[in-house]
Amino acid sequence: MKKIFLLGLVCLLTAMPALAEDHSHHHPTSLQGEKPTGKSLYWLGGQWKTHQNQKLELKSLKGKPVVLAMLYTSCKAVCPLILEDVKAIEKGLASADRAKTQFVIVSFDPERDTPSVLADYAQKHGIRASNWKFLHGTSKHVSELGALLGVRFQPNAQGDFIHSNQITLLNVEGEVAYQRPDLKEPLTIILEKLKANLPVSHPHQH
Amino acid sequence: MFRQVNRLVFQAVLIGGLGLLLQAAQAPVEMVKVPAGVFTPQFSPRPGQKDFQVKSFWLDARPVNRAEFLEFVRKYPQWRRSQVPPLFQEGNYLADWQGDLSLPLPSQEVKQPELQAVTGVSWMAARAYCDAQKKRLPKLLEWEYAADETDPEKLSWYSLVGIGIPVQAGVAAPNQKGIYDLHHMYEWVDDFNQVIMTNDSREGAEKDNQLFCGNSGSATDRMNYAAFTRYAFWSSLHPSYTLKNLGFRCARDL
Repeated sequence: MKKIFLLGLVCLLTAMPALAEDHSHHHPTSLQGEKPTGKSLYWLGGQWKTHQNQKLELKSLKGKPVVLAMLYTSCKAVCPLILEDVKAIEKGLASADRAKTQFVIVSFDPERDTPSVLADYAQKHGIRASNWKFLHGTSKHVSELGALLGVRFQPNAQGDFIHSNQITLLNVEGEVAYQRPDLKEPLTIILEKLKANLPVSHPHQH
Repeated sequence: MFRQVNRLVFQAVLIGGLGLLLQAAQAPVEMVKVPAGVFTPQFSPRPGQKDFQVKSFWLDARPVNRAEFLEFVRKYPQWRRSQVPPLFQEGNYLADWQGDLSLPLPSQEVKQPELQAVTGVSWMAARAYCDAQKKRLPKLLEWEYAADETDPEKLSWYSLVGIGIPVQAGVAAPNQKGIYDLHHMYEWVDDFNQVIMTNDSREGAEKDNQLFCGNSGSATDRMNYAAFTRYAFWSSLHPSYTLKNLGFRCARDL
């Protein structure tokens, strides 16, 4: 366990310069140091890491809409369905619009779902695109995110979680634009909301 | 020589006395060691399981008061009333304060407003406060376990909590575990949002049904209306809510 952590740390440190670079070509509307809007989720701090072991601040997602779901990878029953639905949302977009959207999966099982476990999970589900991020956070920040989104997850005695199955759409500012409450609601609804929230102007035109 | 010793003693007494005075003014909240035990909560967080083993933990003997919260916002400006974004507070955060760093004025009924339990604090702010004290919010199970008593206090809680007047923390008699004010207002718990599991979103008619209509059979003690009310209350909250009759206290692992 410790070894994995150290390995993660090393990867993280080596990934730092790349991250710093990433910040320089930020979307022009998200000026450095600009405060998030009042109800933006990007007020939420925390040390997040992607499945590619890169450090991430939630506010770096600003500028593009986000399709966000929470799950845990050892879940056999419902979670694969959540992921399939997020993939279906992506497929419902024109390819130009896919690039304008970010897909974020947050694990509420940070103990087991380390970045490398998340990487395996992404690969297993055939996800390679760079606009997909599987996030690992501290349990403190994961529970804050869950509480703010109204996503419930409770460990049971068998090592599984009882959990709710929302898929949340964040607008370009990081505010909740829509929430699909369960797996029953037709995907067309959240898909239409997503299309309405795609950035209109091209990033380079300013 | 003798004189010098005398002066030293005098100085020592002076410093000691000052220290005592300072301590009296801002005595840190005492924590009570809640012993381990088995507890049957009103609503089981795990289907099929009735009894839960609660590990021993430390719990603040009384709710956090306004003076303590003022100290916190002095130190952490991001939690001052004018600074907290709507994501973390719905709009009535510390609404009864005079300003960012000024407490409510004393009144006829409340001579020392600084000693009253702080209310109008969101879950996010309460968590941040406990975090800053190197503590945490108690878990729901821990809170209910600490408050569980087979005494008439339960009913007095039921009548007091609706009034919405913050209590002077730590004045009324403690319960059998030595903890004060558990039955005088609502308090945040860390996992308030996990009360009732549904597969639905947080605005669920189903959730309310579970609590109030068809599902009262799942409640373990149908006569414990106070706990019933608390669970219903917790399940209705959002982490940004700030209410007049909702305060908090912190806990810590052993």
